[in-house]
Amino acid sequence: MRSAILEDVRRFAIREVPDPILGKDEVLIKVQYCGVCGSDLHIYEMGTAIRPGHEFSGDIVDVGSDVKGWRIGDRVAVEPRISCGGCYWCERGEIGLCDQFYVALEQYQGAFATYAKAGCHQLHRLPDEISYEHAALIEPTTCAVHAIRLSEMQEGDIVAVLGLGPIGQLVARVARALGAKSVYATEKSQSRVELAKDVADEVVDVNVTNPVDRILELTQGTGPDIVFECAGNVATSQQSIPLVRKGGTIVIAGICFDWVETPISSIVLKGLTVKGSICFSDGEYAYAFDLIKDRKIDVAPLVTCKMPLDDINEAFEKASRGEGGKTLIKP
Amino acid sequence: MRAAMVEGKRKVVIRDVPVPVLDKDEVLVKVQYCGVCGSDLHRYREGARLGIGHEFSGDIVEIGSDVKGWKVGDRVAVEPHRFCGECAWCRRGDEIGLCEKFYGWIEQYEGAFRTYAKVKYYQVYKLPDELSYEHAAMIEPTTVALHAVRLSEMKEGDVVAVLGLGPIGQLVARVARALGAKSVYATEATPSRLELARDVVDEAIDINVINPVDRILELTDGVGPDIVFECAGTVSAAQQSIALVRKGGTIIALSICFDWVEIPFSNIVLKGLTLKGFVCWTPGEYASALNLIKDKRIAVAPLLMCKMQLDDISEAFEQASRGEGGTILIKP
Repeated sequence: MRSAILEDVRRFAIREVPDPILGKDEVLIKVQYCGVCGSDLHIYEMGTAIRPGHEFSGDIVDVGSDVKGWRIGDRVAVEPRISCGGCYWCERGEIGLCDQFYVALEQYQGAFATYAKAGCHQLHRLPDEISYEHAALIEPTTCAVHAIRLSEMQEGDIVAVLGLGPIGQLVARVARALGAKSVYATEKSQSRVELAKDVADEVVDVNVTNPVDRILELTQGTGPDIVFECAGNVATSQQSIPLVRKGGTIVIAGICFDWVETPISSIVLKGLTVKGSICFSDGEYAYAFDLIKDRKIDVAPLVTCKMPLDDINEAFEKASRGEGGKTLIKP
Repeated sequence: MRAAMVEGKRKVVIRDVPVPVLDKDEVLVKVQYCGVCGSDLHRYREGARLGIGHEFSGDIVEIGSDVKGWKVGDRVAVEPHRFCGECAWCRRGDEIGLCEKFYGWIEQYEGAFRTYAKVKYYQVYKLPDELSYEHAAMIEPTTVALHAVRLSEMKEGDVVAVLGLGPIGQLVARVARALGAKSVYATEATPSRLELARDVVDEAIDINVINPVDRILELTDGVGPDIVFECAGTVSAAQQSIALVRKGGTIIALSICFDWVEIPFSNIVLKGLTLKGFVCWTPGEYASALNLIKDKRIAVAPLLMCKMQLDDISEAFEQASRGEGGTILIKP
């Protein structure tokens, strides 16, 4: 089969590789669409020899001998499990903290490929009303769900979302669906501001308006109950602290590899809680699945680019530019 | 009466001031002992004209006309911070430091390094005979430590690290132990402070000699403690706490470090960490702290370093600023 393999910094090659070999409780899936994730972009920039691609949907084309309840032809979405399943963290459903995460990552055979395999317990059956494209958005929606659960957001809370890449877009939508009274967002790219206009109460274009001043103004000087940092940069990480109300919570979903100069005294004097959100926990994928199926969130506008496997480098370059919504690869 | 007041940078003087006049719902407390807190030292160093002295005990000498249940002669400990009970934060049962009026009252607070202090009747707690005035002066900082441990959601059997063994760190270590921590590891630079903690912690690490992150990771099989209490107020301790705590762990920031600290935010995400700060405690915790001391579930006696007279308060503040030993109590 064909698979994208990262062979150097910012360079995938499409290679012929053997089809994955199925374990007894695994199925083989013909990949319909696989989304490009921010973490895939990090890997792309580092040139690590990994085969990424974990936000996917497709059709079962083969089943292992012990698999029950799944047949060839079933349309499925796949809950990725880059984890060992047996360590302290996996047993608690905190798969993002799996002790073997990085080992599993190196061995992972990603879904930017003709076929990908999955354990039968990772499969979610797609009803007719969910397209393959929308199903590829379930995984990032799950990350958004996890961030919101960590925040302990209550109905009626006011939230701010800093950064409107796919994760920020989904956090804004899920927060709305789960009863946030107001959702304010900040972003610098015009296309991303546009994508959120129907969802957020106000999207602050940071090229034009100081986001902290504006959101404080919108909240009568108090600040939102919760701030979701979804941009992964120094400025937004720093902004979250003066912005959030006293006693409030900041959830960091973006990954900023730069060191951030932080006023720890503000965290203390404002009585803040700061939580890092990585991946998701057991049960959240199914929850995100239902949000999409029941149309409690509308992911359709977020699919802004579909490209064939052969154009994966171009797709990644485009996704790196920080415009628009989600890029999907079609092998 | 006599009152200590900050009148400039590193300048604290004793003045003669009128005895306060009570409102109907207030009591007048003759101060027996008042402990020196890091925030008092901050005001002293910066010359901030704010009330100093809030960790105190004494005797009721006068009661307001509407006060019931208290009499002249009652031995009391005083919860110094007020909260209104009416604003959205108070009604939510949140920390009293979030109360709309909290900082306003701090600005009006006159302090307790003085002969008498007046407080609301609901701020005083009766001292049982077995609780000395000296130990009662430790209730307030113990409440801070108790709140930190509760905020961390520490469970019995958890492994905790305490960075910095000033009075707050000492009390956090003791409270964590009393509340069921399996292991308590502490770090500190000053020998007298390491000594004070040796009976309480599993290991007191001298950071002049040993890399604290390496050592605590070694002690925890490379996993790291469940909870780290940052009580040192230094840039390095803040950074160490992130490197040290286990994945999915919690860091409680107790100290106030006014320097900006370079933090690896990516580690907060990739390790799934929780980091919390707080200003003050929640209602009810002062009484719980009083009980911890009364019932001897924590031993505060070793933490009382010395007692000094009100007249020697400058020397007391200079000594406290040197960061040695335990708590200094002032006797007005």
